[in-house]
Amino acid sequence: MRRWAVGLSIAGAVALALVGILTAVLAPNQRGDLAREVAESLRCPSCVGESVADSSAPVAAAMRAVIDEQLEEGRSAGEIRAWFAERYGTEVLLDPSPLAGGWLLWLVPAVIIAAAVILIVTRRHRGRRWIPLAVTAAALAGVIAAWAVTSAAEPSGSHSPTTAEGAAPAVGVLRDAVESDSGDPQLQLALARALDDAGLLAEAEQHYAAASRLRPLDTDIAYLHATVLVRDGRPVDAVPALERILAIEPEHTPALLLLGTILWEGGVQGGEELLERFMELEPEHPAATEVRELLTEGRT
Amino acid sequence: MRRRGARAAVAFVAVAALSACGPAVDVSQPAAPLAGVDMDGRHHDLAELQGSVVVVSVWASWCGPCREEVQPLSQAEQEWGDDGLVVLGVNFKDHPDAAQRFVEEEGATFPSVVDADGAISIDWGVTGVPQSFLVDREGEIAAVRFGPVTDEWIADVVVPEVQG
Amino acid sequence: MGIIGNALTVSCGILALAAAALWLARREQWARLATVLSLLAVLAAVALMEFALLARDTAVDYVVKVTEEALPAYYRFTALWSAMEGSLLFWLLCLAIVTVAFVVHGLHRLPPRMLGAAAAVLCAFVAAFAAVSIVASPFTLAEGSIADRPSPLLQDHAAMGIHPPLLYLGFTALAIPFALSCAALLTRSTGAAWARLMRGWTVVAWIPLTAGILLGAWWSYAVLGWGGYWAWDPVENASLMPWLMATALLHVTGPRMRSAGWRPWAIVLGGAAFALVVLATFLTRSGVIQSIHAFSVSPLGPLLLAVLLAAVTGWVVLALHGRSLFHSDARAAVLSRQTALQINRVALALVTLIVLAGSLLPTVVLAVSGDRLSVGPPWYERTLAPLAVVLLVVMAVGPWLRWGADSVRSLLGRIWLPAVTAAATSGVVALVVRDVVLALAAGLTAFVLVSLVVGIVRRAPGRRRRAGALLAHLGVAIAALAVVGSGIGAVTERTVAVGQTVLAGDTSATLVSVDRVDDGRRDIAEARLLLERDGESLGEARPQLRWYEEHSTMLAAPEIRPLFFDDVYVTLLDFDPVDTTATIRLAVNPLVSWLWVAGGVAVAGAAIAAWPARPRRGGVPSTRSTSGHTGVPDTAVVGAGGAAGGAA
Repeated sequence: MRRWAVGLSIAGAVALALVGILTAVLAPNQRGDLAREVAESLRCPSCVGESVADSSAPVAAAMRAVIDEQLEEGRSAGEIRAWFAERYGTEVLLDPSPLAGGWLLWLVPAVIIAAAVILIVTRRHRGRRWIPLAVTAAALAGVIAAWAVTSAAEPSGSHSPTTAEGAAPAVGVLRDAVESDSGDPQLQLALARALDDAGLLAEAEQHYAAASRLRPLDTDIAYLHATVLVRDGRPVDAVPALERILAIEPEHTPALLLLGTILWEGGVQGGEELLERFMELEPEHPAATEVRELLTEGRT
Repeated sequence: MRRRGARAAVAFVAVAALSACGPAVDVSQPAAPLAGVDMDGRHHDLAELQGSVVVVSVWASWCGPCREEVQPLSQAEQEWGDDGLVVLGVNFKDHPDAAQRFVEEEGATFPSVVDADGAISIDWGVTGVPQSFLVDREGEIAAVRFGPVTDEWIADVVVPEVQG
Repeated sequence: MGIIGNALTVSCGILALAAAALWLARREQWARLATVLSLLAVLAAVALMEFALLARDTAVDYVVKVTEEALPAYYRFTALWSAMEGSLLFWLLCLAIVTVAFVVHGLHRLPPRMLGAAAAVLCAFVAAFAAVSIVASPFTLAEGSIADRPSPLLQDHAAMGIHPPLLYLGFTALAIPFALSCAALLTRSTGAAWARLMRGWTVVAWIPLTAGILLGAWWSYAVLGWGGYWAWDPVENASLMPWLMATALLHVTGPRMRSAGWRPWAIVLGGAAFALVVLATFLTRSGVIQSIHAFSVSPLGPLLLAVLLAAVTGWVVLALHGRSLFHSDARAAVLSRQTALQINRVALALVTLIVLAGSLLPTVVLAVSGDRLSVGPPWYERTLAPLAVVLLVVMAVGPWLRWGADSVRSLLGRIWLPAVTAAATSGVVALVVRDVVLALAAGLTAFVLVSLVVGIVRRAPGRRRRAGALLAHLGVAIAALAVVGSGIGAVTERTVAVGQTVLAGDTSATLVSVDRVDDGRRDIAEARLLLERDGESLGEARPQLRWYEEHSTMLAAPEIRPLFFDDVYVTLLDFDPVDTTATIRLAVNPLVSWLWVAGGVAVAGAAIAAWPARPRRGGVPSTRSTSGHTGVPDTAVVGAGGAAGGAA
């Protein structure tokens, strides 16, 4: 009975292991993408002991961009490494291949391992000469096969170019956060900007307004609030926000321009005055010519 | 066994003695292509400058030592420009406004090709900024300078190339 | 003050030299006195320096070099070992403490000749490092060296107070196995007491070394911002090599392991471990090798090289003198515990040699041919992987093997339970995670875990020590699992505006704001992000970038959110205050936090295994005849009868 149970459990476990390992072997490689693997095999030339993948140095960032670009052009990992070795010398390769000057790095470990195996096996089997040789050859062959397999397996990773993610997850996350803490102006503002990016202007406006209420003296928030109202087709509603900005900061030129234009177009008094003040402050501004045209047009 | 130990010791001493030498410089190879738009929108191409000696200087506004080399480079261009010296900057991974401010503050007179993603600089094998290359009249790299360009470097390396 | 400090260091050196001579001359009472006095001298020197650091006495150059006005007291205290000169003084202190501890503990345990020889070697090392510490005296700095200030990295993290002292303690404690190795060769004898002390002091060194190395790995993971914990940096390697030797030594000197040629191995490993420590000291302080851990270039190189060469030459001369100890009969059956232990030490020695080759080859090639070579993580990973597999398999199965000849059939009958669990675990993990290597590592961990449970449940003599050793093995297995797992991560780097999201795998980070603060010592930019996975909020992360004006150095302070199966790792790489955008690196690092747990498990296991038994009998309970037959896995890490207790 016990033997039977043991046998069954062994058979079950072995079957489970086989099925599992087989599925894993057949599954697509998930060990990072190819770009990262290539970057990991290159030394950051302006750092000490860091790979291109791990360094925050600007040169490393530029090298990562070049790797991405070349992979998209369809170059192989080996070609890209060679491209870098041509420009930065062999020392840029963290694992130089035997052909690229790294033969010593392959030879030394092999010699160390072979020497150890020979030493041990000859001590064990004094007299029979072929045994140590055979065992050494087998061990070396095993190790070299393992190296070859790991090196050859390397470029099998996939390359998925980093695509810009939409704002959709951001909106969800930020909504939840705002719901639990609606008194946080930073959260309100972040949600408003995420909604703004997603094109949900009406909802974005509410959160800009909320952020603005929480930080009444922040002219940047108030200005964002005003612009979203304008883009949402409600320029008149933007007037109070813009007036508040100018009360705090009378020389806030974007607000002068925007409020001046809104008032001018609405035919309200004071618009021209604001636009003239804007021109005084920013005569070089690209919008200045348009404003000038607008004003002369109005006069005629 | 002991002989091997002795040899290792010799290697050690040699290593200790040699540890101060600088990076090896690969010289006289054809310069990589360098073409692009400068900060004012004008187009520049190194290939069109064949026949001139060109100092290609890679810089960025976020790099402190880069400020030191603007003066020497601008001066050299004024002094030797008539003899065929051209200075061409490469603005490496920079913010346009910050780069513009840098040029104004330091009074740079030479144009700089904008290399926003750093691809040109990497193609040139730049290891860090500032770094400069001296390209001879045949379009080959005659010298590489790591760190800011100094008046001495111009006098010792650039001027002979211009006159020679 | 500088004169007093230097005088104390000099007197420490002279006293230690005198002590070495007295030990050799067998004037024990005087020798003991001189040894203790040399410790007191360096202790006084260190106390003086600490006083100057804490009081920020700017009359002392070293204080000016390593501290600044706004530095908190904790980092002033730890500043002793933040630059080369002070760290050498601290090193000297550790060495002197270890020497006195050895003498006090060994006094009635070792034969007088053996004790005298070992103590003489230790005192000679104290004298040598006192000389080094005088040349690079923190009390009177060489001109120009004040300008090389230590990186603010060393004034920014609590680990600064623990990581270096642990490593220094572990490193210097390895001087004792070296001294014992020399003493055995000099007296041409070993013995039970010698072996017990060898083992005990190796454990005393191994525990802080393991903890220190892992703490260093955790430190670099927590502050460097790239999410890695081991870079195969030459200096990291320098600390790894003595650890590997100490691990091999642990598996040679246990009373139950003294078989199959243990004696020559113990003597050679004891010598090699500390020789590698001195090599590490040389490499970090001579400027020969470029590394973030290295101190700046200094004239100390030749002096430290001389110490290294003297130590190695001295050992080789002694080895020729005591070569009779190297004759031993190494024969054992192919399938036996002895073979497993032999494979263990050979493989550990090979790993050490390969790491040594990788660390030194670029420098040697540069010196010989002028070619520049780099050896990086991919090389180490590829070259060491086969040996690591061998070591792990032997570690798992070895404890189940019998002493003397074993048979495959009988072995299979004993290990079916852990083997079945391992196979089932591998299968399940492979189905869930779809990664072969991770599945195999999980199987291995399950195997060791079941071995541990069996070892605890089945009553047999020596249970506590067996369990401790198996617990240490479990720690190593978990560490292997963590290392394999940490390779399957997701990383994304992106510049985002407020309200935008970075996505890595199924984890997202949404930028809420970028703020700036100045706390006097540094200018801090902080990004505020909301973390989320599968619709579940993981809370907020606030990674920072710290600009140290005085050092003109920028340091990242990443935020790590450890979850059960992975860490969410957020780094702020860059920010633009005008556009309020931030460049964020978001990484999901599987199983990394398991590595820290693994370290704790391994250290706890070693401590449990090596804790001295109550002195019922002088010796060690003999379980050799029973364990193999009762089906109990037995690592036979049977302790040192008190060495550890005395020294700790």
